[in-house]
Amino acid sequence: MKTWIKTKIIGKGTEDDPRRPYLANQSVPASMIEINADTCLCRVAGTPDQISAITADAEITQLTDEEARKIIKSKYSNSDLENVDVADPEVDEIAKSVGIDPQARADIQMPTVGRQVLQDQEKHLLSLISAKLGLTRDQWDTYAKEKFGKLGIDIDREIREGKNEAHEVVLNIIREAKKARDAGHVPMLEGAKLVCKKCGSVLKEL
Amino acid sequence: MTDLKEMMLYSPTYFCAIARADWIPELRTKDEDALAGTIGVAAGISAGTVAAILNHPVIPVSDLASIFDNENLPADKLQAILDDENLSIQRGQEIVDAMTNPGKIGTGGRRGYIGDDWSDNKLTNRDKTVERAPTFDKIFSYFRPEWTVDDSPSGLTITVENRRVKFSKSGSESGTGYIRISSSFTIGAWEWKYQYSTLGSTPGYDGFKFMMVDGSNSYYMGLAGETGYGDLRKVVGGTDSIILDCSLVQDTDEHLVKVTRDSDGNFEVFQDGVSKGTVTDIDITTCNYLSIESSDYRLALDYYVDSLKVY
Repeated sequence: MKTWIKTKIIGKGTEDDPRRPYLANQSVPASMIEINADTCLCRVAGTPDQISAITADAEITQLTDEEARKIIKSKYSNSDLENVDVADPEVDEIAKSVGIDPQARADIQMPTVGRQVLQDQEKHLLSLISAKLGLTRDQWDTYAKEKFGKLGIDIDREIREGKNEAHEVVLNIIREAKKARDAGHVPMLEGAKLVCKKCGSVLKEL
Repeated sequence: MTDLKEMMLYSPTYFCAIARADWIPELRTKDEDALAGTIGVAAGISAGTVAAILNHPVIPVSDLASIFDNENLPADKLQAILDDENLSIQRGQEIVDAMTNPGKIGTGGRRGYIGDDWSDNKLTNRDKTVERAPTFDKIFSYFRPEWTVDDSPSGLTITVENRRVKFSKSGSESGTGYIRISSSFTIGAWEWKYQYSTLGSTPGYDGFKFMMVDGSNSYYMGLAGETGYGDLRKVVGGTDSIILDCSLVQDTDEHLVKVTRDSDGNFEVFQDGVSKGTVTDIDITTCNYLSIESSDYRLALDYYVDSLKVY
């Protein structure tokens, strides 16, 4: 799971105690750009519990993609969401749990959207997991059409652009599909619902 | 024709005249393939004679350039010549250095700025023609450079062993040791392999300062023989900041790290081909050195560095 936050900068600035974002004592990957001497914008990644602990902290403010973009653009006009990002360890953990080596990220070495490789690699791994869970492109299209009035490929592109919200939409469905599969169901997307292909029950309203 | 062969074999001057066949009316209309075949018959010509021919003042450099640009000498033949083991690495490097005009060479991603495989097992007085062929896929302007070595801290020794740089830490803390070269490279990729002999819970900082202005200003990858450690840092005015906490995989396997930076200050860090994160920062835009450092020896271990590529 990933999210944008605005937080204070801690640390004395030494090698032992470098300046770094305050993350509510959670040890998670983080990318930071300084807003001023005391505050920074961060994208952080971790388990849902870790991210909840971070966003629940009174000294940390959770931001949307658009709010994050405004801050990035105000500091670096030629940079965008893709330039402040970290690989999501939760995606790696889900990949491992369905028998996919997260190193498969490295299959992709050239960006197809933007200049950075990270988002293309992450989208690739999400696609492999999705396929392994039995979620097809047609199913993603029915979901995207009903939920957002667009196609699965549009969500795909938004992930490659570095949009956190698109990443979380896909990851949330993958989480639910994995949970359903572990419970013995055969998950499939039917519009904005996750249903079981075998028993026909609605597993989750998405 | 026998006389012609004799001339080719024993007189570079006449050979040069033949090469400039337009000077000899009777050869001007001679089929080029036939002429090449005739020259080919003179297979006993030594490399030294051929070199003397090519160096002869009767052939202008522009004509020699035309020979190498002529379609009768295909590119794959030229590449075969340049790849042949009889062309020493040193000489090949000098040719590359003379061809630094981007319009001449360097397309296709085969051009690099700094490269070191430490195959000569040295840091200074480098052997650029060491027999072992480099495994690199690039040709570097500065290959096997001369490193400035400071291993004066008492807890540290720096050597090259089995074609890798080895930082041996004794377990006591003391000062900063390094190997360092001049570098003005600020846009592109820095890539190297590293390995730890063991891991522990006590940090032992190993800064790879890929863009170093001076002791108080740099971008570097902070590595350590500590599980889960690894981040992209900057030091500005002596103040150290983590700008990208990458959580690199840390174990005792060898890993390949790559850092890229573009002209807008966009960084990306890879480990073994997997992107670990991106960040933007423009506080430092110049570079004087590339410095591979070790500044904490509380954990006794060996830290190895290999296969440096800057491109």
